[in-house]
Amino acid sequence: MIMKKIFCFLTGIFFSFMQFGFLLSLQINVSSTYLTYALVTICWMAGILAGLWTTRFKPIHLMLFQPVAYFFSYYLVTNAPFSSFTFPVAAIAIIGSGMWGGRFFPEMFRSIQRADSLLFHENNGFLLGAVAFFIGFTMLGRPFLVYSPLIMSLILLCMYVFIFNRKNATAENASESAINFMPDIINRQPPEKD
Amino acid sequence: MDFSENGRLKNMLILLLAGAGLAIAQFIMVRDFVTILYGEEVVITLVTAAFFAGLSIGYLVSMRISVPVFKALFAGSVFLHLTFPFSYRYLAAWMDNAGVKGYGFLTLLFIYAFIFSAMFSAILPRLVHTGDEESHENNLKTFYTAEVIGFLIGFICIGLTWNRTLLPLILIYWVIVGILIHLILNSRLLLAAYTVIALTVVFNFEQFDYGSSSKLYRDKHGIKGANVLYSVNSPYQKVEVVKGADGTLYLYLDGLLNLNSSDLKDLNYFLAELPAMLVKPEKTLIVGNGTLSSVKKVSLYSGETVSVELDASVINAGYKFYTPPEKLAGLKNWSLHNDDGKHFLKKYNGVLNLIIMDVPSPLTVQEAYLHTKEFYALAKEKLAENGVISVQLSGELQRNNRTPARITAALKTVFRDVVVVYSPQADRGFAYASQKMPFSIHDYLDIAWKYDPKIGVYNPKRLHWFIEKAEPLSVDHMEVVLRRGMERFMDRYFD
Repeated sequence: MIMKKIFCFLTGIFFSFMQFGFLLSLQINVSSTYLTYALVTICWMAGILAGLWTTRFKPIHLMLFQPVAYFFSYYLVTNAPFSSFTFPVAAIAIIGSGMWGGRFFPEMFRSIQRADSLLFHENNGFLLGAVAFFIGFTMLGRPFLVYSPLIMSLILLCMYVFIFNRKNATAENASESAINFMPDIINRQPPEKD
Repeated sequence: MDFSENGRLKNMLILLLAGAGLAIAQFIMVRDFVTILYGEEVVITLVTAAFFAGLSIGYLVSMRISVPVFKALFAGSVFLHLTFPFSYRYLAAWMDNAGVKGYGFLTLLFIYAFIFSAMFSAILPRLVHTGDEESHENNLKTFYTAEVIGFLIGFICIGLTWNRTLLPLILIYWVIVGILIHLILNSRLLLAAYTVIALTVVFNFEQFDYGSSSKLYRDKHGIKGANVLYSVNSPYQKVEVVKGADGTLYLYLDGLLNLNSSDLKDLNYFLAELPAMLVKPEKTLIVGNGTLSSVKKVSLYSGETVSVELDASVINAGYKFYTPPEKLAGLKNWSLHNDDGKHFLKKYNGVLNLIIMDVPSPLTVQEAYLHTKEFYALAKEKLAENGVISVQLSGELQRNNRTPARITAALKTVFRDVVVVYSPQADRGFAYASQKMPFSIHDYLDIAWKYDPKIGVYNPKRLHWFIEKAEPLSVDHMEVVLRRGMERFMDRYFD
């Protein structure tokens, strides 16, 4: 359980890095007007809403999609900041990234079973992420925008595979043992009465 | 009555309103506490973190308290909401008078963060765990959806009340809280008491709002006879104009003094008027200068003048208190654009002869960007070869790695010729940079001495000595925002 709570906490940090990363990359390269802030906030929220209800994608796919969308958007706003498709594509990337932000909660709720604990750990991560992002960006600038989401997404992917595959593997082993044991049980059935 | 007795739709409505309340509470709290504690990026981050800490406390206690305790805390909390935004301003002023230092203010911040946000955040976990266990996951999806939609509605309400006083937004906020009282507490008596108090405050809102802000400026900022004349929330900051007993006008942005009337005169002279006089530009771009106070002076020497200011509320304050529109009515060679300076410059197609950077000191990331070598490189692209960029250094250039040296180093990285001066009268340094400086130091001093006889010019051949220890300010090295913000915060509250 502790690993799952750490996973929620680190995911909160990651969400923070992603949201501020999208915002800062757009503000630095395109514009600092409030429209940029509104775009990031509204699109992330729209992504959450889509993620809460969609079941078409596996969690691992949404997790993988997040950094891909982020870096695609980052590349675009850096290299073609004033192209007519930059803002729409960035908006789609933010919505796509926000989808794991929505799916994450029901997905983790199945494991943690307590909404207060889930929200508490994720929110603490977000809080720490906001502070860490400010310090990291002022100290390191653009490399922080690139490496912090990359490192966090790799850590979280590894954790997810480790936590949930192990859980699945344990469940599979248990059912395999049961299956292996079953013939024995069947063999030991009491003989039919003549 | 427990939540579980409510219908699903009613619970969804509660979460929708809680989401909207959270969005508005976050906005009001961050803006007001940033203004009380003074708005460097460090303070903005601290206040935001406090708000999220309040959310966490709400999540933490939500399932650990009984229904009666939850209701009692909720009832107490909503009545405290009616004291916003006055109570914490009066408390901050009182604490400052009483000599309370840093930890006292941090305690105040975190207590209010708890009151602001925990009340809303404690609702979702309680509602998720209603009904039988199998429905909990679906509850989470449904109620979290309602909360997110509510947050978006709250965000839109904030957007609709930008560049206005706080009253419309606080009115929406108090209506939301009032409906929540009805839905959660279901007590007519409490709702009636809440409504009576709310209406009393609403009808006297301006008096409370401006009165508490004025007290803060008198006691905490030390402005004798301070009287707040203008106070609005823009999308970017809280913009306030304060008048002192001696008639001096002060422009405050997020609680930080942007300038006062006498600063403005000196700043406009060295930053705008003097370079315009020397360059005699065909085209001038003024970035910032929301008070519009340098426009007329620059226009006298410039063929065409373009002003670009990000914040419409600052422009409104400028028109109202510094430069009435009729003063600029006759100017045919001037245009005003409400845009981000960097965005405007990137999209600008013409060739400029003078760029005047009338922007605040680099205390936030966005302000710091306008002092970076990346921004100066962009400015160089748009300037004629003998075009000049004029910059204020936020202090005296010294041989160190502090803000004036770092800005100068950034300019020197991009431009061939850099002239740096220090005016004791303006109490700050100014830098002028160009690929081919169109005026000599003698030309400059001939005019500048008449304004400030003690003005000094740094020997251009020795300039490298002053900046050899300085890291040019750049997008990838903005630690000055963190360091300077921390220094100011610590000096103010923990010295």
